[in-house]
Formats: sequence, structure tokens, C-alpha cells
Amino acid sequence: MRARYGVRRFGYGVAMIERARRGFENLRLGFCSLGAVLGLLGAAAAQGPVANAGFTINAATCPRLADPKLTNARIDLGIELRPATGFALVKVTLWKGGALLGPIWQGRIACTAQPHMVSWDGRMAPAGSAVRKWIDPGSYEVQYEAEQEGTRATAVQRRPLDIVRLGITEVTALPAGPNSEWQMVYFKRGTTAGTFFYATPVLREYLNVADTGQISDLDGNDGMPRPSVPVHTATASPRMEGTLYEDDSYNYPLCYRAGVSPRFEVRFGATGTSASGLLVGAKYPVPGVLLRCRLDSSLGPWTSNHLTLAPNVPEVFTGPPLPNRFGRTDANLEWSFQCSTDGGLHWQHMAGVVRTQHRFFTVLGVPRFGGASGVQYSGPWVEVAEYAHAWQQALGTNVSTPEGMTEVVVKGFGGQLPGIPTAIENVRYDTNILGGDGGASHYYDWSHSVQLSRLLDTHQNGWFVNCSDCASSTAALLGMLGIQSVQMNRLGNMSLRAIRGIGAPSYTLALWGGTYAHGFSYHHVVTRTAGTTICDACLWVDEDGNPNALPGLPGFNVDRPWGGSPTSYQSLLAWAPISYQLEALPTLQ
Amino acid sequence: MNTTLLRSICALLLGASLLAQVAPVPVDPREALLQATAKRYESPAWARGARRAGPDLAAVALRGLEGGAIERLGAGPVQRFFADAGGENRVLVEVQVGTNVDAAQRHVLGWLTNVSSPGLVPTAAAAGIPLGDVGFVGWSKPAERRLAWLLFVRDNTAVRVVCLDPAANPHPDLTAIAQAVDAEIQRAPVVAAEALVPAPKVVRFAAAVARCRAGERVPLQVTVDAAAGAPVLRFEFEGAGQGYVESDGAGGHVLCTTGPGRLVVRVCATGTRCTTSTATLTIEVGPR
Repeated sequence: MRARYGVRRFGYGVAMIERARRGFENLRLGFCSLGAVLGLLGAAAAQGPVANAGFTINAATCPRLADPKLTNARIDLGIELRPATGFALVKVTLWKGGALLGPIWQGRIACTAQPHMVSWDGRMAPAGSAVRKWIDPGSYEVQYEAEQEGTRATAVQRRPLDIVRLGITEVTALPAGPNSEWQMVYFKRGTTAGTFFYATPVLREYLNVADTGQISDLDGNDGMPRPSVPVHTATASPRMEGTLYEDDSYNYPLCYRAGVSPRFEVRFGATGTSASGLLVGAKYPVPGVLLRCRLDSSLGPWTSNHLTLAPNVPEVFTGPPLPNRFGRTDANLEWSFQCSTDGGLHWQHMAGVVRTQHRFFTVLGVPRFGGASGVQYSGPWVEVAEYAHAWQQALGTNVSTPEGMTEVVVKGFGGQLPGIPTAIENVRYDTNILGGDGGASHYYDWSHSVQLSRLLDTHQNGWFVNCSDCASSTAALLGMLGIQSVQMNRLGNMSLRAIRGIGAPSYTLALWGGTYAHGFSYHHVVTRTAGTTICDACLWVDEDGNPNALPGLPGFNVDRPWGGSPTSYQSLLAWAPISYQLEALPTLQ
Repeated sequence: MNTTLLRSICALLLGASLLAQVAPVPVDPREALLQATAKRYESPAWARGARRAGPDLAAVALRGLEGGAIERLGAGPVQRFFADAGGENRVLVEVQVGTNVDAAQRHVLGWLTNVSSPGLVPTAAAAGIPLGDVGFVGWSKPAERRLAWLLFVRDNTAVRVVCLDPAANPHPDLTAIAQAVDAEIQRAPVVAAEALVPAPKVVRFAAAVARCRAGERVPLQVTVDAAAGAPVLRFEFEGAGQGYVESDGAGGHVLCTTGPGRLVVRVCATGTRCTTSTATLTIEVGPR
């Protein structure tokens, strides 16, 4: 009962204050003159509450800037009443341009030494509506009013509050020095049949803006904040919008050299959607107020030197070093904001964050390709990087060195190992004992090109591969993942010892069936040492000490010495020395 | 033959031999491989047909199979997949139309050079399959006459027909498919000796502007005649600039630039007769 009475009387007091406020523009300043307020309250005292110089209200906490649409945002309002004794009825209201917009909070609180905290979500029901909506970006005032119980003394204070709209629309991954960052490549276009190369845009790898028919970049048409774009995890095709490439909402993986600190050039959006569904500006910068962004992440904190943010003006952030090895790193980034009203001497934290996720691939060196121009040579292919990541996870190999990386690619490509049950795309060697034929190439072309896109697209050209298909593909994989000096190596004819072809269930001494010679007219392999060592993902040699008999013991050909020992490649593969001819990396299709 | 004449011939041969030793012609290793394959397969003895326009691959209809789009990746052969009623690709037809018969035969030799089994690939004729001027057979299971692939050359066209899963049933009738393509080759008109093999002609390829800012979209004008069959367009890119081409929804094309730098755009128009023409344009894409 008392409270109800108090509130009614209190509302009357507010009206009186408002009438008086119109004559005193200085009340719109951050700290209104206590004397003036007390004087005004005195004018109202004859009809209700009385101003009392001994009773004061202080906005102990009131953010200068706020964006209630940020994740976990709130507007913390601290109410401090003096003297710290007894109780008071308090009302916090929002004002704009001299007009009362509505109540933020009201209640009875104890007058104590500690401020009473009120957390407001930034929403208010517009006039004539029962639905609470976020207030639009713009300049406001928060009015704190109190009436002391018993004395009925009143106190008022106003604080400026600017609502701004903060959000990230673009992130561009910048190099951190020469040869440190590359675009990544997709080879399909949605569900359209065929090969279509697409490189992640240099302009920005992350984009989150209005689509056609949408009002603003930072919000949906219903005013809800536009969610961050999740990492695009598909590996063959970029994000599609119907039959077209997505051009307003994507978040593509990034590729950096291992161990470097990534650099992001970030743009903050300029437009939001108002509570009434109209386009509204982000409403910053605010005169006299600096605004900066702080970036923390699961990788560690990022640094930036910007003085103050402005919409659509790029700012650069530098992250902590990425792992010094090949791999995939998924990072959660949390963008928070601070403002300063004293030129940067002191910064006030703004509640709420923007969260984005980014996927980093790190490679050990400059990606190498057999071709020079073409989208397919823009950088590592996403599907290849994902394959290598998965293989590394299964094998547990140390991939901080080219040797380890080579092992991952050669063993992973052939598969049939714990954690990698099949060869890449489930291919198998092209011999009629496995259902194929006589070892024809299906992906490698005489023009020294390999249709890697077709191989990765669920072996479009068929299950079967020969040595040229395997060698050209593994050479391409190693090169694009930053292994240097990779070449193909075309070997001459040979009579074979026991081998196990890719995808085959067991070793054999009759690769082409019982009535045909167990040999090759030629064989294609890979080297990264100009032929002194060999990588061969097409077959395993037999390391059980008797390479002329079955069964065989897997001998992986990862940088295996070419000759000079009983376990060299020549010795374990063939009965007689083999001729060879080094070749460049293949071109890619 | 009298002694004097014999001596003269020997002297000439010796001289030629010495000359050859004095000025050896460097041989590209890959060319040497091709020549070795030509020798193994005695390709100089292969029949040689006429020079024709390419076969109309779009006109090749296969019973029970649905043909896909015609595509060419880079310098490789024109490809067309054929899918079964379930939509699964079962057969791949690859076609390379040469500027002349030699070029087509070289392409077949290239395929044969990359067969790694040590023996010779059996000929189609030996398998009782009449096909092309010369053809070859890749058996999956010869006892069942189950084919993995067939390749052949007819006139100036090389063809490979591949069963994508030879173990799957029903096994596609590769012979009938290859012979259908062969018949289509023979239906193509003969090209006069001095004329070029017909190919799509890129009549116009132009951009609305020569310069733009990264992020801008630039309308392209592409006009290709259909004399060599309805063309399929493929766009390729070179240079430091970056972009891709989209349909503008009204039958035209638009270049969407996504990175600054000089951007060379190449349109590759491949007609259903399996020949390709290209045209390029250059756009300076500046910073945004």
C-alpha cells in the first residue's frame, strides 16, 4: 500500500521535474547541476516531495555508450543514495530530446554504501504497444530519481547514454609478411555437375551483410541482430545462394604459413534496423567519446592500435602466433568494446560481445603448383587440407617438418591403416584382378595434367587409378600443402617383386593375373629430393626380408632411398635397376 | 646392284649418319616416350582417314543412359558423362578432335603410353570389335568379355569410352556406345584440306569497363556462334586480380571481382562437336 502511494506521488514529482527541466538546458549535460535540481524540486515541494540537500542520488554506474543487441549485452545502472540509511523509492527513466520515452526500472531500495545495481536489456515498449523492443541507436538520457522514505526528500540525476550499433560485417585475412597467407580453393559449384574453381575472396574471407530485400547489414528486418556467419565447413563447394555463389554471407577458411601471427582487417557495420523496421545508422562515432574494440580468442589476445572505431572504416588486429606445424585450428573470437570520455585516459567496458569463429589452416611453406595461372593455383584446396588434417589426426604424425607432412600425405592417400580405412576417395589399383583393367590412367592426362577435381569429387572418373594418377595427385597434394621441391619421377619398365597396390586386399606376385608378367611397362612416383628418395602412394613394397615371396610386410614409400641398400626402393620393388626421368609438378584440373 | 652404286649409297648413309652425330636433334623425353609407344604399336601402319568436323557428342544417345553436360577441363579431351536411371554416372566418353589425323593418333598414343601393364594393349580388331581406324580394348574380365574401356581413333578424332565401375551390373554395352560415337564421327562433314576444323567462334567478348574497383560487378558481353554446335562456356582467369563469372539472370554474364590486380578473363567456348575456341579480355581491378 505504501509503495503504491509512493509511486503515485513519485510520478507526480517526475512531471514537475520535467516542466522545470525545459527551462534548463544544462540539465542535458552528463552531470546535471545538483543545485538546480534541488531548486526545481523545491518548486514542486509544495505539492509533494521536498528537495533535501542532504539526500542525493548518484548514477554510480551508467554506460556512456551501449549496444543492447550485442551478445550478453546489458546496460548496468548503478544507483547510489546518500545518506546510506533508510529506504527510498527510485525510478529510472529514459529520455530523448527532452521527451520521456518510458520507465527503465523502479522500485524500493535500501540506501547503503554499496550502489544498487539495475541491469536493463535495452528494450522498451513503444508508445501504444505492449511488445518490448530494443531502443534504436541514438542519443538518450537516463534519469535517476529518488524519494527518500520518511522525509519525502527527492533527488534527481541525469546521465547521457548513446545507443550505438556494433557488429562485424567483414574480415579480411592479411598476410603477415611476404609469402605468409594464401587464398583457399574450392572445385565445385554447389550441386552443379562439373568442375568450377572458386578461390576465397581476397577482399574478405568473412562477409555478413544484408541480402537483397533486407534492410540493414547488422540486423534482420525484424530488428534482431544478424547472427555471425558460421565457418563454411563444406570442402568441395563454396557457399551457394541458390545457383549463384553466395555474396553476402560467408565465412571461409584461411590459410597461413605455420607459426605466423594472423592479421585481420575488420570492418564494422554502418546500418541497423530500427524497432519500427526502418534503416538506421550505427550512430557512432559519438562526439567526445572514443570507442575501441578489444579482441580475445581461444588462441590468445589480439592486438590493435586503432584510436577509435568508425563504421565501415577498416581496423587491423594482429593475433597470437598460429601453431608452428601443419594443421587446422578452429578459433573462437570474442570482440568486446570500450569507450572513453577523457581522450583515452580511462576506458569503460561495454557489456556484450560479438563472437565469430574462424578456421585456420597452417602450411609449412609456400604452396607449389605445376601451373602458373588459374584460380586452381590460388592456394591449397580446402578438401586437400581437410584430408591431410584428418590423416594427421589418425596417424598422430608430427607435422612440424616436411618429413612428417610427407608421411601424412603418402600414408593417408593410400589409406588401409588404422583410422584411415580406405585409400583416398576409396580408389583402387587398376588391375583386372581387382576388377579394373591393365593399369590405364583415369585422372592423369598425357598433357601432364591431373583431374584432381574429379578424383576428389567421389572418384568421378571411376574407382580405378594407376601409378600416374596416384603420383600426379600426391605430388599435387604435397606441393599445394607447402612441401618444396616436389617432382614427379617416371620410371622405366621393370619386373616386380611382391607389392600391394593401392586399395588391394593383399600383396601379390601376379599383379595382372596368373598368365601375365608381374611387371610394369613404366611406373610413376614422386620425389622431393631430385630422385634420391622416392614417395609412392600407389603401392607398398615388401619389407619382411623376402620381397620375392608372399605374404608381405607393409613397406611404406615415404622418402625411401632410391638405391644403395637392400631396403632401397629399387631393391625392394624390382629385380633389376630402373631408369628414370624427373618431371615437373602436374598442372591441375 | 653394282658395287659403285652400293658404295655411293653406303657413303651417303654414312655421311647422313655422321651428320646426325655432329648435330644431334634434342629429343623431348616425353616425345621420346610417345615415339617409343608409336614403335611398339606400329602406329605408322595404322589406317588414316579423312579430316572431319568433330562428332556431335550431344547427338549421341545411349539406350538406358542419360547424357550429361559437355565439358572440357583445360587442354584435356571433351568429356561427357552418361548416367543410369538412378542418376549415377556409369560411362564417361572422352573425345579429342585433332587438327589433323596425326594429332588424333598422337592422342591415342598418349593414352597407350600411360598404360602400365607390361604387354601390349589388345586391339579392338583382335577382340572382334569393329571400331575406328584402329581401336584398343581394356579388359576388366576378358573371359566374360567385360570391358573396362575402349579407345580408338577415327579420322582426326580420338575417343575413349570408360566404364566407371566395370564390376557393377548391369554392365553397360561399351561396344555399342563406342560404335555409336564412331558412327557420329563418320556422319560429320569432311573438312577441305586447306580449311580449319570447325570450332565455335567467339564473335564478341567484351567488358562494360576496362577498369573497376575490387568488389564491383562488371557486365560482360559474350557472343559465340553455334556453327560447331551449341557452345558451352567456361571462364578461366589469370593474373593477380581475382573474380568469377555469374549469370546475370537474363541470359548475360557478369564478372564479380573479388580481389585487386590485373585480371585476364578467358572464355572457352566448347561446341557439341567437341572443339573449343577461346577469347580473352583484361580488366584492371583496383583496390576497393
